[in-house]
Amino acid sequence: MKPRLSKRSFRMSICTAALASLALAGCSSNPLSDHGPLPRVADCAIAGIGSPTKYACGGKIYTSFQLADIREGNPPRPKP
Amino acid sequence: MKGRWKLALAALGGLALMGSARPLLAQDYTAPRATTLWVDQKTGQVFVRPGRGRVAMSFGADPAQIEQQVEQRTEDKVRAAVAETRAQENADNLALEKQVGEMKPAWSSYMGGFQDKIRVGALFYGDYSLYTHTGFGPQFLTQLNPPGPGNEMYNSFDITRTYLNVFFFPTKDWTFRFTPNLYRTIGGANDKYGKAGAIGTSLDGNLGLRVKYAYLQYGNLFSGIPALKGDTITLGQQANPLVGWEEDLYNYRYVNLTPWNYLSLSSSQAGVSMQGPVKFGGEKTYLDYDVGAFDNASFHALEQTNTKQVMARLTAFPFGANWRFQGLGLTGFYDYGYGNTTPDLANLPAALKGSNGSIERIAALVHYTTEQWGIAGEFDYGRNAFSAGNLFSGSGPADAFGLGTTPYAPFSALAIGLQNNGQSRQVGYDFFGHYHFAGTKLTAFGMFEEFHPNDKVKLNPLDFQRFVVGVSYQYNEFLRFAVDSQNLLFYHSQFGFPTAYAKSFGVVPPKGTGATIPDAVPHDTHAIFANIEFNY
Repeated sequence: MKPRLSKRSFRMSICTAALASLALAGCSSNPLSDHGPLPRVADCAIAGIGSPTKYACGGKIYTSFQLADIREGNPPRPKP
Repeated sequence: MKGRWKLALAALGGLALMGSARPLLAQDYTAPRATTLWVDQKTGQVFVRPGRGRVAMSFGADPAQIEQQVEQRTEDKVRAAVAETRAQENADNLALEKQVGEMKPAWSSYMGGFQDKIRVGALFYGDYSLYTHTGFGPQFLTQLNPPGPGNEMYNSFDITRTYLNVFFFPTKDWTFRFTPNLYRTIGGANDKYGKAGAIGTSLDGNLGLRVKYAYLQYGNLFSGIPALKGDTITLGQQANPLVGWEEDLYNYRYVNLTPWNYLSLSSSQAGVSMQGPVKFGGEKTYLDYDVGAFDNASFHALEQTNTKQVMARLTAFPFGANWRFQGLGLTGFYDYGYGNTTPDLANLPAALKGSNGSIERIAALVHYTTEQWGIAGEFDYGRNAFSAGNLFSGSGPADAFGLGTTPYAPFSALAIGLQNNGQSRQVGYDFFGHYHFAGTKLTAFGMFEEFHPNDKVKLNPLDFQRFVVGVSYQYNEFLRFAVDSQNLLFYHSQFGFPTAYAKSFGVVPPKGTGATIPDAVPHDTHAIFANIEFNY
């Protein structure tokens, strides 16, 4: 008879990440909440993973460097 | 008579004059003098000598004065010319000094321009994995090789991908990319050393470097066709039309492999391809394509065939896409190739032709992506596209690798026969997606895959489901973390596979195998992962 994974440990492995996300999603004053100037990278979609990664925010495409500059308050980088 | 005398007299006078004439030498030149006459003021008479009541009246310039005036004027002109020349010289010197000051050494000028032509980036995937249950099966991530069944709680820190991306743009049309990649070396024989000595292999387990990408890309081939402007042609070792694209669609390659990559399709091959969006006026993309011809070998194998494989992907956005994956998309992928075998071996008759026969892969996806969430469904079809080697890419019985005889010998023979007979047919379907929790740095993600490695088998013990579920944390633009559960389930209840039926697929069971091949359904694999991605 093929040994089966116990139902308890099976459910625990499924619930681990789900509980973590549910517990943290509702919290607003913790390091996991997103704050800072817009656009924020967490609010953006990945348009391409590379060097650099490109993100789509508000319909515009930004590189990871551009979003980092916005977050850190740096002036825009000159185009090569 | 009288006239003759006059004539003779004139001639004599001329001769006398000529005889007394001397060359007028410079030193004999007498400068003209001013003429002075005396004028009687009462009478107005002009006399050549001074006298009472007479005043002097000079005519003409005094030579000394003239000379002085000429000298003065000459000096003035010379002074003016010199001053003008000096002024010009000063201006020229200033300009020259400025130029010299701005002039860069040759190497500095070269480097200043060179920095705009080269770009270097880095990518790192690492993880800690804890296997609550180990088993045989495909690798969850590149070269993750946990031990087989019976090794519960096996755990490991691993590096599954490390790129150093180097891009060189010699002109605006050409790009050269070179990407070395870390990988774990496995195998290698011990070496005899001298007459009686030996040394152990150092390959097993070491992290080595291999080339993942090395290609040239040209971006101006279709500049005359507005719809294809910006599309590229790529030559060399490159990402194939499906895997890299789907990894970007999924977003979580640092956690797990995408469906066909998990099954058998390597992410990179050497070949030539064309790719890009197709725009029909305006900024929206309605079609995106990638098509190419490649070696049958993957990027980490030696090409042995006299054929090539072709791959093509076409993605359609019915409502147009504002950025690469935005909105509703429909994607079709087709791959036709051959097993990586030399022609003389491929033509030999064999019961199990899997590695020598033609290979086909199809993927059809429907996907919808926004900036906050994405979801996709995929149907997979294949022929000879999932071998026993693919099944055991993570871990397999020693029997399958020719390294000994174990209690898994009958199961190993069954797997090899069902998957390597050259007539296997694969069918599968997948779902994957992600959801970003607004106002947080957290995103939930997951993937589910059901796969039938050979649906010609009435009840295939190798049918499996794979699922991944987790949450990721976006620390910043370059760094992400994830915690997730990864699971491989051979979902049939355990049974003995009829030996006679197995033989109809070319299975060669070991001697002494009874009427059934026992324990045909492999053990499940379950693991908890903590993953990290650094991308710069």
